[in-house]
Amino acid sequence: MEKVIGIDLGTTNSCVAIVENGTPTVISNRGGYKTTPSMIAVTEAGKRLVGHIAKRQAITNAENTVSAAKRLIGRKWTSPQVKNTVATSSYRIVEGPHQDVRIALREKDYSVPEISAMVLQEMKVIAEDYLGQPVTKAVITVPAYFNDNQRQATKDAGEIAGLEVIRIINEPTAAALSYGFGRPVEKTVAVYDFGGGTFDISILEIAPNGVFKVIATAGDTFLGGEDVDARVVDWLVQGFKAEHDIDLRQDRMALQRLKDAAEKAKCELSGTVETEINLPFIISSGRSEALHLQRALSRATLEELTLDLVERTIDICRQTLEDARLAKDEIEEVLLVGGMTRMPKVQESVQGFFEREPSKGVHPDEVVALGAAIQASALVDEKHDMILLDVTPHALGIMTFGSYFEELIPQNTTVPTNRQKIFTTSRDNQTAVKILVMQGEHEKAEDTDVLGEFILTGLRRAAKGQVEIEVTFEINADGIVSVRAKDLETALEQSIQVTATSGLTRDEIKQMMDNAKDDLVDRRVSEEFEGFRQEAQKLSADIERLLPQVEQIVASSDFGRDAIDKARSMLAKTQQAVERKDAAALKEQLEALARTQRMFKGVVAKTH
Amino acid sequence: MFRSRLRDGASHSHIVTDASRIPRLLPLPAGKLLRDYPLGPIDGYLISRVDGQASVADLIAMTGLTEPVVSASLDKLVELKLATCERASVAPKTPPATASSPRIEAVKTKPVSEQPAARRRSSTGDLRRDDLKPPRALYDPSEIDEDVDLDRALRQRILDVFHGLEALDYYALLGIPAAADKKSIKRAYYALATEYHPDKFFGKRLGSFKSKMEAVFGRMTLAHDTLTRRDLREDYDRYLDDRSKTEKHEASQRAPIAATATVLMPASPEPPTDAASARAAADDAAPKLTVSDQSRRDAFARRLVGSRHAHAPPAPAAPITHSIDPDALRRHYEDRVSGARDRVIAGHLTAAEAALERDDAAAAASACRQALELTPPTHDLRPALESVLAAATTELGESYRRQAAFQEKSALWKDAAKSWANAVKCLPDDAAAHDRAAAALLKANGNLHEAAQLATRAAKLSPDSVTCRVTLAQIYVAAGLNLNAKRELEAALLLAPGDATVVQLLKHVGK
Repeated sequence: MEKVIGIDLGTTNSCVAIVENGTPTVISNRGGYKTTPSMIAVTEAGKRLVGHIAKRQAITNAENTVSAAKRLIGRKWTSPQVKNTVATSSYRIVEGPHQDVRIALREKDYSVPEISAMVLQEMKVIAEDYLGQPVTKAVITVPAYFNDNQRQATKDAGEIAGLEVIRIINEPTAAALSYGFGRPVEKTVAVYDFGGGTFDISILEIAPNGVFKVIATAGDTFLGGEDVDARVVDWLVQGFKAEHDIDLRQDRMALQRLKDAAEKAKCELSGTVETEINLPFIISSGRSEALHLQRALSRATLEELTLDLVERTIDICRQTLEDARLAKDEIEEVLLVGGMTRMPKVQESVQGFFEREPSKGVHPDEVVALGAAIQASALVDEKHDMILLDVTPHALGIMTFGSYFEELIPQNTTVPTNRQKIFTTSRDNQTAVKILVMQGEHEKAEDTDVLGEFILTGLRRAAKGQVEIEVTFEINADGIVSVRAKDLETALEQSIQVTATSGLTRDEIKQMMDNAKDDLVDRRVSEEFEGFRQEAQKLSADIERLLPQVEQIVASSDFGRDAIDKARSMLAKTQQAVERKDAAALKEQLEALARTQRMFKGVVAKTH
Repeated sequence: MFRSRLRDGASHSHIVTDASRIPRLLPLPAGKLLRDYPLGPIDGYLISRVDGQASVADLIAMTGLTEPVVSASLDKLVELKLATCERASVAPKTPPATASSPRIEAVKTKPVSEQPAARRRSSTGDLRRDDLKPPRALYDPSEIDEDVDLDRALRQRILDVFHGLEALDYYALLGIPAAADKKSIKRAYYALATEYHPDKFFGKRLGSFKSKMEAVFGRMTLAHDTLTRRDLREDYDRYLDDRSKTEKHEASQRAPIAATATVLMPASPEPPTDAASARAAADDAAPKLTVSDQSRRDAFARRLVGSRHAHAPPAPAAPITHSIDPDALRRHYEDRVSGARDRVIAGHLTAAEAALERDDAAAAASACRQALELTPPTHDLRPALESVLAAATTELGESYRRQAAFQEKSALWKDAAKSWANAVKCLPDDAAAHDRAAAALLKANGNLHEAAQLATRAAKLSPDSVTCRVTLAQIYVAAGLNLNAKRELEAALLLAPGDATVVQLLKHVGK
């Protein structure tokens, strides 16, 4: 059976896991790390870097290094969150052809799913290396509060990376799956997931027969560790400005250094109560004099700077508990997920709110990927009896006359589900009606997201309010929304499957997929070449080292001189192949090189 | 609609649904008297008829009580250890503890067609999925032959539930008793989730079964979500209760007063089919009731009629003399007939009062109407009967009102319109009910003429109500009678100057 991997595509870090022989396992990357930074970069030479390497060179190549692309995925160019990111990011964000967002790296504009695809492809490669076989299917997690456009964009990213995304699941739900896996508990749990870019809270019921039912979920897709870092950066920038009257934000490289330092300080303050931020030569002043930044940050100050962010998460928890119609004491377990939950203030606030010590049983960085792998295995492996019942995080409805949003499927409805409502025409003799499918919690349609639209035509002519149209919304088990509109009198019916817009067309996705595949091939080839090159150079070095001795020993015989000449030409050919980056030619030389090396070694050994 | 009135016991494991079972009285424990038990007149009456020979079906026929009433009462007797209730084929000595499993067999072996949907009940403690199968004829049998990766038994199960969704109430759908607590509702739902959720068959060819499973599962979720929330469950229970009451009422109206003929022949040796006639017949033909029972009942009847009526107990039948006086014989016969009739009427009244007391308005109304058929215009009991009937009818009307309100809330406009129409029949002077009935009919795209009549009546009943006028105006607009609408709206504007809705509608009509 084909292996299906689970990927936690995080804002700052990503993680891949698989269920092997019934045990969910996180797969380490080549560096031995269980998580990989969700960063990509393009070097001056046009080389693409992903993960730790990209992170390491971020400061020297700030403008061409992308981090936290997840904060942009599936969003419109005009959205306030994009505006916010444009203002603070060290890379260039531009408007795409479909009101979408593109990221300009070197000479090329990349769509956000394309950037995410590079990270996903890296995760795919990590899994393939570990399994020793190709991987083509995955379950990918997204924040529970992602809307359908963001989910679709994530799916597209998977497709571009050459992965069939068999299911998108919510991160907190995945965490709960991992928690409940293999233990027949009957519990109501709250999952508090405060990650790099997003915050989610989900309340679930775990039934002993392996059914996981989400009761309520909510969150903020723009609230995470990044915002905490940003507060520290602000604090540093303001302090620097007060001291030197220089705005460090104007310098992208300085900004990237500040971000790094802020993140590092934040992490350190989870363990200590004070840390020093020391950034020498952060910028040169107008008088071409280098300036340094040096400031001490205490845990108390950090907590003060970010108090409102933590409070916001608690407010969302309170609201969600209310939506779930549960009292605090009905929550039997609180799981902490995401890096931000390492912050002592966060733990304290969560414990204070739920009046319960959070569970220590799950690893905040790995639990989501493990849950995704568990869901993947439950779907494809018949032996599993696990069923996940998730909810719609946002209400679904249509836009009605006067730009009002009329809800059909409320927030927190278990899927699969279907609901209908009857609507009437709003103008006399109206023969067509446009059904705009919307998602969101606001009364005014303009504040909600448009998922799709279609037009029901051929209505009978009548006074307004006379023609009745029954609109049915359906969400199937795969999360696909379909909408049906029916003229009740004529039984005329039209329906669409609503495909949320990720901001990319099918053709674009196809093109990006091919590019990504080519890139992977290039990368595989260059990796292969690199392997040959290393081996060939090692052998060449050995031969060169032995050459004078061997020459001395065999100088008397013709045969020997011949062999020496041969070896010399072999070394030259190898050098040429390396310069031409010709992997095939290099491979050809390898065997001869190895033979010569063995022979030389033998000759030298015999004489001594 | 399939629920018994009893909700209070998961302990009702030997509930009597199999009509072929034979109830049997158990001896009272030493020192205990029957009157120490919490019984009602219906129970007493049933006890008097349980003879170890009559089956449940016989009892229903004999007493003229409805099946749920008899079952409920027998359940109570079984629970109180006053009686056992065993299947006919089982030896009488078999302890009742084994009763629940044979019951299931009995249900299984019964042809489906013999189980009219309205009679099946979900309130029994140990309901199995077999009980839930709607009649097979409801769907095209070729549906099961669709080429999908599901075994035939499962396909069958999915189709049965899918096509039965509309007929199954939430309890039946989840296969739980009406008294089930939150925990068992959840258990049942979670167990069904692993059976009907399409993810269980991910990657398999499911064809049209996928959407069917989704529909089934979606409804199960709705059932779970409704029944596990106290407020929603209360609403839903009330709705079911009202629905079963009103359905009973509608059924009794469709088949009215079949027993009249028998009643008028008190000495008929045939087994009587109506509660009161059974009583009457029993008095004459099958002297099983003791004299004290009879006098107690008569006394009860007198008490009901009230002391202001000096309703004399029917003169004790003159002893049959051997003198052959035709007049005396005729008098004797007429006395017996009128005496029997009065007893029948009093019996109906008793039953009606009792029904009203236990909140069964449909039975009360039915009993009253039966009695009124027999009651001469000047009869002493007539005013009492009429007042009970009025009370029962109002109660029924309220049932319909609640039912309609629930249906409106669930956007079931057509059903709501029907319920409202029934409600106004019971509440002919209720302006609000007429108004809502009209509005529901309008929303359900129903007969506008009827809607207009209802709305007109509402406006007449409550001439100062703006709402009623607005509804009427909306109906006129829908019917294209803008002038009439304008008239109503102008009247409404006089009642409530500046009312935003009225002003807006007027603007629309004016165009």
